[in-house]
Amino acid sequence: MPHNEICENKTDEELVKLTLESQDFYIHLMQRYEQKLLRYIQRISNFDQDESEDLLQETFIKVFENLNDFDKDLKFSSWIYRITHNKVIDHFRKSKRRPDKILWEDNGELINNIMSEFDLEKEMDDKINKKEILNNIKKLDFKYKEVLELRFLEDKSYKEISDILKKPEGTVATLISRAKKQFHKEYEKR
Amino acid sequence: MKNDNFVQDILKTIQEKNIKPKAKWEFMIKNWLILLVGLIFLIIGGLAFSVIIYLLKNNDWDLRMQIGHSLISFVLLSLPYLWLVFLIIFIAIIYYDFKYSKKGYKYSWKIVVGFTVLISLILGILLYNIGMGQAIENTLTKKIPIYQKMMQHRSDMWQRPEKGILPGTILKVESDKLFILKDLRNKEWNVHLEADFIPTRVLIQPGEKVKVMGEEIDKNSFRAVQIRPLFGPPERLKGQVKGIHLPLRSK
Repeated sequence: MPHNEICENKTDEELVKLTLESQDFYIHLMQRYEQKLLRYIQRISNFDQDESEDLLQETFIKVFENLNDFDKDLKFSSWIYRITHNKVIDHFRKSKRRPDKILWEDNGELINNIMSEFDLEKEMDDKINKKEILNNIKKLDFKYKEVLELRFLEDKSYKEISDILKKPEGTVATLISRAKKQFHKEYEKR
Repeated sequence: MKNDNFVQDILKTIQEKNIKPKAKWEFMIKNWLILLVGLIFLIIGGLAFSVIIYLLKNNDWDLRMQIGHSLISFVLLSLPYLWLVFLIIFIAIIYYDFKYSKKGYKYSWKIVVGFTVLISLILGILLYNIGMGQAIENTLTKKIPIYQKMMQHRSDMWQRPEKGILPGTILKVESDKLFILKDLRNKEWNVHLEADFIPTRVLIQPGEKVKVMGEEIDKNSFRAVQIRPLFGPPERLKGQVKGIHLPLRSK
């Protein structure tokens, strides 16, 4: 593997530039994102390991082919997540399936983040099982879950979510606010 | 990863298949094409607006009461729906074109559509002022029969001889006091120009589409008090023309 030490301190954007000069540098970019993107693919698609890895391979090749189209106004991570997201959606289209499930790990930090964003801390009492929150999240429409996944599991900002999903920032905020409303509705039903 | 050499294998595939990043110019051409399509449709949208402005401005609003329509029904009858549909289609194309541009997704559809309408309107006003609206309308009316049929509803509302308005096409000029007119329902009328006729700058010659205002004398005769073009202001008279040239009444 070339230039291991040099590349460690390079930003993604610098690595893109280097990759365009020599494709060997691409390995460093792939290494940085392989785990993150594989997890992302599995979360939003529910595909098994093999199907997810195939999709990731296709994604990395597509990213490589389109490196000259990388918009320097974007973060590289937003751009590569966008291509991955589009690849998953295309894959669903080709197989005539629809994405509906997102894998939500039972993660304490995630629950705390959701509670904080959804103003649930005040309403929380000991009787409420945190798993119940996760179950209610799973009942939300896919368009909401997709945004919440990027917000809470991938830890993306509104701007990054906007760049990944190619939706205006205002729409991202609206989706999160609607998800919150839908969540509260489900929460009140219990 | 099941395969520990996952990324190494991808790089190997890239090398073996000789996959290269697409050239910058390919993306530039794509982006320029998107921009070009947007600009073309913005101009077409402006042209559509200029025709709409022309049609609405030259709609003889002063005669609304005479044909007995409320303002709302008159507006609904006068609207050039064909052009409005065109305009909506052009705006939709610009919207989708913009959405596919690099930064298009950052703006909400309300902002994109709002700006598109605004720019098309401004362009439409400019084009109207240099006579594009009238030129397009006249060309389409004369050269494309189906266009006339599609805009028929706008002339039909003027077919009110009993209310003193008779639209139609001049068939024959018998004398400087009489011509034959075929109305919109293909009925022929003798139109008499009498002493109280108010001259206007309309060319009275066979083939002219006019709107005669006056009074129904009997089933086949009409007394003209004033004559206007069926739509729009009178065309500029060019060179020698056969027929009666009635100068525009000065106010």
